[in-house]
Amino acid sequence: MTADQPVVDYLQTLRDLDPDPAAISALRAVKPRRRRLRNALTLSLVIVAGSSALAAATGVLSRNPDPIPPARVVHSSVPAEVTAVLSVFDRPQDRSAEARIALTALRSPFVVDAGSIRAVGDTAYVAFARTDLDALPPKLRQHEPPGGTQGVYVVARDGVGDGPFPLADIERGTAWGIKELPAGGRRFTAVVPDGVARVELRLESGTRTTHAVQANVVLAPVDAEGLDGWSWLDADGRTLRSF
Amino acid sequence: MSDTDAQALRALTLATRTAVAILGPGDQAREVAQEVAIRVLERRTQLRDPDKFDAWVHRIALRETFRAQRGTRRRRAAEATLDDTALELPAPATDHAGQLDAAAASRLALQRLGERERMAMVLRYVHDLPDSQIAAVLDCRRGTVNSLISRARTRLRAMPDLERLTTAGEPR
Repeated sequence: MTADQPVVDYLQTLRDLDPDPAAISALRAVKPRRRRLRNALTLSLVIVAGSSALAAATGVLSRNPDPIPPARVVHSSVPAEVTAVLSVFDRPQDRSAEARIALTALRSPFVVDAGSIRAVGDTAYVAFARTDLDALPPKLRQHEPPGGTQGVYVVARDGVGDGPFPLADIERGTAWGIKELPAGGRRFTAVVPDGVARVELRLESGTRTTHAVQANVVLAPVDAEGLDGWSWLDADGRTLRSF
Repeated sequence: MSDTDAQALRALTLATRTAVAILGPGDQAREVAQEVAIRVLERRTQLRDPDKFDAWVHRIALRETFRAQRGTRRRRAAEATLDDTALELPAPATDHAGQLDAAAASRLALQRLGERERMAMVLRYVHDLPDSQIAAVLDCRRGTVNSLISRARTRLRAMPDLERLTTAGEPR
């Protein structure tokens, strides 16, 4: 037996190696999530364009029987003006497969910056996303701002995401959304700048609640479809701004 | 099983074999294989020729596996002191009888080869690919594939750890 034979034998033993069943299950979980969140594209594109005229066009896209592909992952960098306002991007990058699977909730024509993915505790992930102008049909591209829409996307670990929220929206208190959850109930999602420690929500139902901010993100169960207003509070409970 | 499911499973299977061959069994290999399968799912519409699916997956799997291994080495180097010995390869695992564990020793031996030599070895002996397909994956000529494998095996034969492994069970 030559000395290299154990290496050849070792490699050949792997010919029949099958993947871990847990890995197969995790991979299959991606597809139902895609189906569940296909409608999210309509909302995303409406946000991109900010135009009611666009809603009709995106409606056509959402009826397309082919699954809309998830946002591609690209290698770029988070703009300095964003990192200056959101310290979540100072945290270590999350490279886990779970994060990448969760971020497939964001659909094309957005692309996600791989280096921007961060965990928000055990509950969610954030990433910086932008529109891929080349992937956008010309009819929709004309509604895009120069360079495309870009902002912070938040996705909870249950696969329900919101955004991307542009920096200007974050600074003027309009970076929030309320989404129905597949398991029932609704969730308020928002991105807030550094310095905001808690938020107070005034819901259409009349309910007032306060919630802690974690890594520039607020995720809170709510009992209404809409918000009457909300306030940013500092660590001492003082109101910083009301909207 | 739909075409997409079949492609995802095929990608996961090929990537698992490549990742385990280089990284060993464990979480890192599993994560790399999942990453490859997710990428394949995300980008499968970009593949124009379905006959080249396996070669495409092999390229992604090899790239991601070696990227993961380089990342591990960088982390180890960053965590290590300035003592040069900290950067040396760890000793091979031993079993209860004190013998070298063949799989661990083989992986360590592979680490001492060049990346393209390792790629060629994995494609030949794990995936059982002919020279023409290995050449397609590595984007080189068939003759280069032969050279890579021949050089890799010559270098392996010169490694004392492996020599001890092969002579340990032989009668003296």
